[in-house]
Amino acid sequence: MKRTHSRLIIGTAISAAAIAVAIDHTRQRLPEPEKQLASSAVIIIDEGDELPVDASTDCNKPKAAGRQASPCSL
Amino acid sequence: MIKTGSTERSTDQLTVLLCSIGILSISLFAQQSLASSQYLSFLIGVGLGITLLHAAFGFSGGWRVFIRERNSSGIRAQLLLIALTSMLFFPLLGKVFPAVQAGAALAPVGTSVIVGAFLFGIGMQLGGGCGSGTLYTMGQGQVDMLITLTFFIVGATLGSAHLHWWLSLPGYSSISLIEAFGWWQALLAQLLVLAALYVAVRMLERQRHGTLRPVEWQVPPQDFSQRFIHGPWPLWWGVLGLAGLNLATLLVAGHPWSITYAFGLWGAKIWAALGGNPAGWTYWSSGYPAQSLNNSVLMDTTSIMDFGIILGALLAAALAGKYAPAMKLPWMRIFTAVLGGLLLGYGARLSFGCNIGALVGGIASGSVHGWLWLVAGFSGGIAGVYIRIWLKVDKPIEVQI
Repeated sequence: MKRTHSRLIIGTAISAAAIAVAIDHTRQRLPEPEKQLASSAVIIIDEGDELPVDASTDCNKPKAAGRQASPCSL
Repeated sequence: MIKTGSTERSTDQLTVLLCSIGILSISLFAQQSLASSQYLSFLIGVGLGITLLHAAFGFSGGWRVFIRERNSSGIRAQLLLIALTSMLFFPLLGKVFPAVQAGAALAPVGTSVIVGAFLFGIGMQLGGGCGSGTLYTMGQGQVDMLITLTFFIVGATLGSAHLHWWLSLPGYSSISLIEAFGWWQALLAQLLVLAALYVAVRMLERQRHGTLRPVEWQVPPQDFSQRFIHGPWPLWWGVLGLAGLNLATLLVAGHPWSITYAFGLWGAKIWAALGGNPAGWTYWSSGYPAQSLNNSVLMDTTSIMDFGIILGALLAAALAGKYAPAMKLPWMRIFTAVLGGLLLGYGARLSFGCNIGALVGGIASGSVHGWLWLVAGFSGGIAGVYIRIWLKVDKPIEVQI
């Protein structure tokens, strides 16, 4: 019985954390309409020159900034 | 529930199933939607969680039994872990393999590290766990550690708000022993110091007890596959596993294993969601912290590894039938969990990491701040042990003549 209670509490905490992570991930990844428009404009104007980079992939990868130091030491 | 082999423990099948689904789902999602380093980092985190739980590898308990009883077996295992990790890290950080891009855990050496590590040492004893211990014991189902973790996050967030002030106090910039002396000379000197510490703690134990308790290398005989899946692991499996997975982190993420940066990030994100403006604080206003604050939490390597550790420990605990049933939480335990968590978080932020990021990662990176952390953190540990006695959490230490 006690084990079930303990499991329920930890399970609830993990579920709540998972929902929070999902909200955070979705919120950060949704582009604002103005920015989306601006990105589209870049594609049209600079066609063949440089494609816009997805902000959630290469340029913001921890590696890019964290190569020189551990995140804890930042 | 099923019995596992000859042991009395029983595997918690439902939790194993749910954990496996969770780990598989996050892995697939990370592989499809995030950078490949995130997917690998998550799996490394799972491996770390399983290793920590099956080998029962901790720091705060090892320090406490040494301070109270002069039992040095836990501390000797920690020294072996630091020595092995140093041997793996130094050649890479010394650019012996130029193709490998790896960053050291370097940090300033100053007042903030001394104060922060001292507070962290107290917090370890009051909170009942360190950076890694808090995550894996929570994964094991210890509800009190959920309180410690919650206030760990609060403390780390407060620490990030105050760090710029602490950094204005006297100190030096980061000092790398590898850059100062060369990688193999620094490694040799470091291994000699670690060996001297190993001998010293052995001697202190022998002085007190007349005999030496062995590091728990031996466990009851059991079939290899049964032991590997259900545990318990001999401590040397833990040392090898943690050092190997720390090396994997260095190669995949580009920096040593760290835990507590994520706690500050989660706290800052929660504060922002509540209407606060952490982006206005010096710490979160530029560089990687600003980037991670504005990005998905899943893009932060430390966060995704921490999620992996919790799920890995949960899986291992379910496989071992070690899921904690304890529910009774006296007020004093709640108080120590709250205070310990706050001190752990605040101290970790001030001292640029915890026992993993600053102590193991710092020393294994040849950073002087790691050594300073060890001295200040252990001093805090001694203070913490006596505060526990003062709070009547523990009995007074019996002096043996």
